[in-house]
Amino acid sequence: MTLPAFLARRLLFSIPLLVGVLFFTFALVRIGGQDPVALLAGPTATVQEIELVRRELGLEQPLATQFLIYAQKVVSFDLGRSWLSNKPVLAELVDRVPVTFELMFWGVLLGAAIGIPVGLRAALRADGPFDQASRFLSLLGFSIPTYWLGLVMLFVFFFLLEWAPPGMGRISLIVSPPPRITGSYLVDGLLTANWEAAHSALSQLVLPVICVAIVASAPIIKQTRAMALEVLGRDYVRLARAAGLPERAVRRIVWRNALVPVATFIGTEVTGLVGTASLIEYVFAWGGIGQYGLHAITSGDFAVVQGYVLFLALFSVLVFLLVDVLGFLLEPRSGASG
Amino acid sequence: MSAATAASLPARLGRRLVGLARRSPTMAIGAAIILVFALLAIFHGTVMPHDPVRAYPSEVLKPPSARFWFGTDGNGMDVFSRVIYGSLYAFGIAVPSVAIGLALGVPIGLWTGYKGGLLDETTMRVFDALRVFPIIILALAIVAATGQSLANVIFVIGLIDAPIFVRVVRAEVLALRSSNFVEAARALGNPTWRILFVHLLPNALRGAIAQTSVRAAWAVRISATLAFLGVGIQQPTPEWGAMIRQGAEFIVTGQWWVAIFPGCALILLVLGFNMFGDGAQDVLDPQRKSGK
Amino acid sequence: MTLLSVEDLHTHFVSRSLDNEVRVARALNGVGFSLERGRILGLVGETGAGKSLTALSIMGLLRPPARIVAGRIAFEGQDLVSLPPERLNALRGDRLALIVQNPRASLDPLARIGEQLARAHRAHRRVDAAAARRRAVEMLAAVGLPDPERRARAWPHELSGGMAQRVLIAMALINEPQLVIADEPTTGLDVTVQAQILDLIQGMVRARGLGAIVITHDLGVVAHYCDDVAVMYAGGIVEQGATRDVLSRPRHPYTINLVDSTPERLVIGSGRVFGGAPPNLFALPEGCHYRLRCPRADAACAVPPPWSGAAGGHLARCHRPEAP
Repeated sequence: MTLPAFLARRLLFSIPLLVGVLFFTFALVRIGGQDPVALLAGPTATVQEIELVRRELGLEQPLATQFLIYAQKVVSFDLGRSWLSNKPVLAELVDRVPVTFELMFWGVLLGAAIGIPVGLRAALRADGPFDQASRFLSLLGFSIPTYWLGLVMLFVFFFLLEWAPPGMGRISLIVSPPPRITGSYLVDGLLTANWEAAHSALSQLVLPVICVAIVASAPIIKQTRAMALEVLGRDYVRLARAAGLPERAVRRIVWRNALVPVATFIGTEVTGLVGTASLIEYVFAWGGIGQYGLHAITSGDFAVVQGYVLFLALFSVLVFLLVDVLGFLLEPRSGASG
Repeated sequence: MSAATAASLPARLGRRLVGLARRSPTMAIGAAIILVFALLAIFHGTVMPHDPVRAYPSEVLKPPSARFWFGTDGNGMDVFSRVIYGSLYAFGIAVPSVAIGLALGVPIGLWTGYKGGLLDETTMRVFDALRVFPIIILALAIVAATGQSLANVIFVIGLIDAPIFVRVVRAEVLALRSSNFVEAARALGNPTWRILFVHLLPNALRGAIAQTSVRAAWAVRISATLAFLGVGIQQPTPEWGAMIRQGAEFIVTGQWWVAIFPGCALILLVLGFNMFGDGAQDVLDPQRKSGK
Repeated sequence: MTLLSVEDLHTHFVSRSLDNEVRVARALNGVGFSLERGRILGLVGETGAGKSLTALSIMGLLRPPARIVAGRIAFEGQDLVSLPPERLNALRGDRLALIVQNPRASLDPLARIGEQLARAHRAHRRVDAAAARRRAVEMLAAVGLPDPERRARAWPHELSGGMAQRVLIAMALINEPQLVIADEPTTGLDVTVQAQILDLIQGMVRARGLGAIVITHDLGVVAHYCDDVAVMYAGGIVEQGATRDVLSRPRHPYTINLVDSTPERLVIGSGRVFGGAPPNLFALPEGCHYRLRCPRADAACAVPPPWSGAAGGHLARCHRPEAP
């Protein structure tokens, strides 16, 4: 199968998925049995505003029509308006995406840089002391609450050791942020040769990134180990050993064959990590979509909640698609490469 | 003969437990941790030195001492007693929610796995669709939208657990569906419900044991997360997440005990459930021991 | 010097049951045979008799919980059992080679054929990449693959079963070993391809004066391609000797049964029904391991049977073997 054909098939199958996602977020503000208008317009809305929202959403109409109205709005990039800030939800989300991306990117990269070698080594010396230790650490990583980790990090590295800056956002309060090019203070600072800003942004990045990395590494270690062990049991590894290949070469065969499933796993993990990272954003006042979404959830800003959940879901669908395409391209058997 | 077998039953059981513990020390340690917390939860009345919601206004934010082993929090309440009481909340949320997940998930898994066909296809598609939502956000959003009460939290967690149990049970059923003993049961004329419950269920449950523990770990975690964010469980409830929420204010100014101790308790119990689940998986599914 | 001499080899699988009891599966119980250069030995027996395990034990490819617990494997005078792992690894693929089962699954899916052959060559010889690739193509031609240059650039999944098996043979022979073990080299292949592969193996072994062990459950293969044969049951050899002797005048009850029940390809027999429950390696019977299935078993068989027959010739391990 060629790439365009594969893509077309995948996209086709995504359509019912997307409809399902839309339906779910549509239902989100209606399942509580409360008046959706009250949720969406907020407690500060005036009677006129409530009426406006009621008409816009077509709430006198049957449910099916309401859904179509909602779907139509989404497709034309209208995710409603936050009653807290009075700004359109989509604009606010898009604005904050680079911020979250920066955190996630470095966090996952670091987590994988730690997790993959550890998992591989654990598999190669299965049931040995390194393996036992890494399995325990991985379980521990699954058990530590992310927000608590952030707090403890701040306590140790900011309060006790005074190495890290206070967890108050992405840049020190006394430094003015660089002009916005990419949305990342670090990158923008570097691009505009604003070394002070870049340095401050970097030092603010360290702790949150480490937190994300720790949380990300636990499943990566576990899955890498599992994949590597599976590969180690395969016939072609046995043949490599039978041919007397040095252990180094056998290791290379193992990690090359384990890499693709591990990479696809990391891709899908990212979709879950977005949720976990939002807690870190919350603790460090990071200002990304995670903090925005959580704040909306806790303050009952349901237009934002709806938009946030939808946004994340769509992001996940996209990630799954990309992961599938990547797997397709890298797999020699599918005929796409070679 | 019967006296001999009766006497050897506890011995056999003891040997079996030792055998299991040897096979998987992880599982044994996990079980021990869970047991300790369960005992703390059950006997909290006896163990707590102070009333967990009694405030001592003159002892606000005092560090650990002989009187208050874990210090006091922002309201002057004893952190140690609150941590103990928190285990009651942890189990009080984890047990019902996992039970709901099982009660919903196992029958559905048995049914769709056994029947297969369009019903199975559609159910799995729906569950696949749910996987695109990050679980934490999903739980948060639903609880926030449906009104924030403890019962809601339990119910939502149970609901989110259900698809996972469906998957596990379904996988077992699919593997066993065409096996000899099921064929034999069918050939003997057993009605479907009997096959499902008498023949397939025990095997399916065996596979679900490990997952049950993992789900319990998650239930404890997510309820604490909800409480930390102030969703579903409010202060001054002595629940670990709520305590960490309060402690967050104070930790960056040095009063670490308010947040650290509940966090440690939380980590320990979640770790216990995770270890038990991990070990159980090794023991009950040895082919996968080298795979997981 | 004898190329290979296996003496009293015992391989066990040690595990613990859920009741914390140690369980030992005695998979190989005192296997012994020898092989000279230029001769092909067939190792034959039913599934689970220990044929592949013998090969893996010789090659040092056992994985936990399997272990060699006793015995000696003298290869070119060296005892392989007591050799340190790196030394054994150096010998594998160089002086002794194994042609594994499942050829298509045994090739690295992420490397081209030529690359894999070159890899196997460079593991034991100091040559540069170009020389290794040339050697790879040479071997592909030697095993009868048409258009070897193109084949070297192929991916494993593009090969048929027969082609993959040829590649495995090429890989085994690329460093000119002295001993080749072929583990069920024809399983999963078409009948016509089976004959081609066996002809190929036999041809290469004869031409280069190697020693070879062919593991199979098919007596027809043994009859046509092997000089000597050893019959295995329950981890032990019950009868061994020159093929024509053993197959035309079998002495051990198991061999008699085996020969009688093979298809017409080999022998026009009485077509007696063969078979029985496989032996329980965790609880082998005292004495002769075959006695639970043997039609001639009696009280005397509770004692381990002696070898009967001339040393180096046609031997059978039975209390009451057929007369030679």
